[in-house]
Amino acid sequence: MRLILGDIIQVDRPYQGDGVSVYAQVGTSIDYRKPRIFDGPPLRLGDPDDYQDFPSTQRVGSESDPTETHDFSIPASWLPGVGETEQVAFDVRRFRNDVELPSEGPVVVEIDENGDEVTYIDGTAELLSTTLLAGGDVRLRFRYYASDNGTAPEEFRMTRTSGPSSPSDQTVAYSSTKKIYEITFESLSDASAYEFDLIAEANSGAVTKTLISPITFTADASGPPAVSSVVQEVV
Amino acid sequence: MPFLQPNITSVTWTGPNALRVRFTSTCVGCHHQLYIGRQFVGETGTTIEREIVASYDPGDYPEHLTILAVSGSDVGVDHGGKLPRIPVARARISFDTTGWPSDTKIIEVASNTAEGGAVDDSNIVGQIPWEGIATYEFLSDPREWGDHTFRIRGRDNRPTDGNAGTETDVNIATTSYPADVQISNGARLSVSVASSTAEISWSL
Repeated sequence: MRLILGDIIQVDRPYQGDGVSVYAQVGTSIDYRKPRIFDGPPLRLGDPDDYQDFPSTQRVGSESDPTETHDFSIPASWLPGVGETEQVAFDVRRFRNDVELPSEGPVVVEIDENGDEVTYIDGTAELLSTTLLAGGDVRLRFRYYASDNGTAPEEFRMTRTSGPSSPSDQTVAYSSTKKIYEITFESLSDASAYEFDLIAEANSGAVTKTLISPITFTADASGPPAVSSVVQEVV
Repeated sequence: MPFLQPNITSVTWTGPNALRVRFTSTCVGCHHQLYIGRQFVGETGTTIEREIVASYDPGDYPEHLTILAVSGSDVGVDHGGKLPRIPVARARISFDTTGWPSDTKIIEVASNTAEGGAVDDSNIVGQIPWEGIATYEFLSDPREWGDHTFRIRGRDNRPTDGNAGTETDVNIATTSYPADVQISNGARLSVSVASSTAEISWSL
């Protein structure tokens, strides 16, 4: 049984004055300090964890207003093994007069074994339609869902992974204000199955992410066959 | 008896001044009430509804949303005073106008511009049309943490601006959350990492 006293005297006051708390944690999310309830909850029936006054959190530092930057040394234990990468989430929360604003919106950064940032693409895509056109042409439409994390792509590349002919890769430039993109391949082989991958590229192709794999379809380059049973007569 | 058990699952702006709040609740046969800060702003019409739309004027200082499950006898009853001690940012002042003359036109509310400051008579934060001797209520916008003074007075209908009446000052202390950091390109902060040092930047 857990007793909750009515008048708890708070000794630790991390949110005195005006400032910003800085949070950092390995992974893609952060354990925040729970909101405090000072005088005992008359109605509260939620998570018992809410009552813990000093839970373990990932608040790694703070700055007083009007400072707008904070340097954090990433502990050696957070660094990944050689050749691997690790994701670290960061966030800030404002506080004033012992009250911290519980807004959240972490930014996730990927680091390598040297503690340097790794450029990566975090967005995702969804194939909206595959339209077979005359002459073996195929139009593919997709939507790109940008992310706050990672870097933005410079372009999207559609490349063939299997199929009877070898069409050139098709690209379309990324735009931060555009959501739906369209790529058309021309003159693919008739009645043949193709597979394509959609890849996002950044840093002139040095950073890539395969967004959709595979995209499959069978091109159609031929019309109906000739008529049959032809009868000729003069009338 | 009200319960705090319901969980809010989504909050959506349905207009510049309207919020839609959806929630889950295990309270069978309960109505549900929505509070912004301690202000009772909406209620379900039936016991099976799990969505409340309320009008809300946004401000710089964030406010708590709370859903309460209440029994049938508590429908329409304001339980704002029983909520846990959460940061609240608005002032609500009620007053009556006993003895005011019939040529009164408007009730005017002025306030300080910054926390702890003196009232600036040109900083009008509320105007209520006078509709006879009655009890009126004024609700302020969300204000920063600290001491605020609201100056209430009536004005009569003489051109051009009317004669100002006797003023009454009301002092209220708010315990607001600070304003959030600014959002830039969809993110609240930016991070760059080099040689195990992360530089975290934000805008106030």
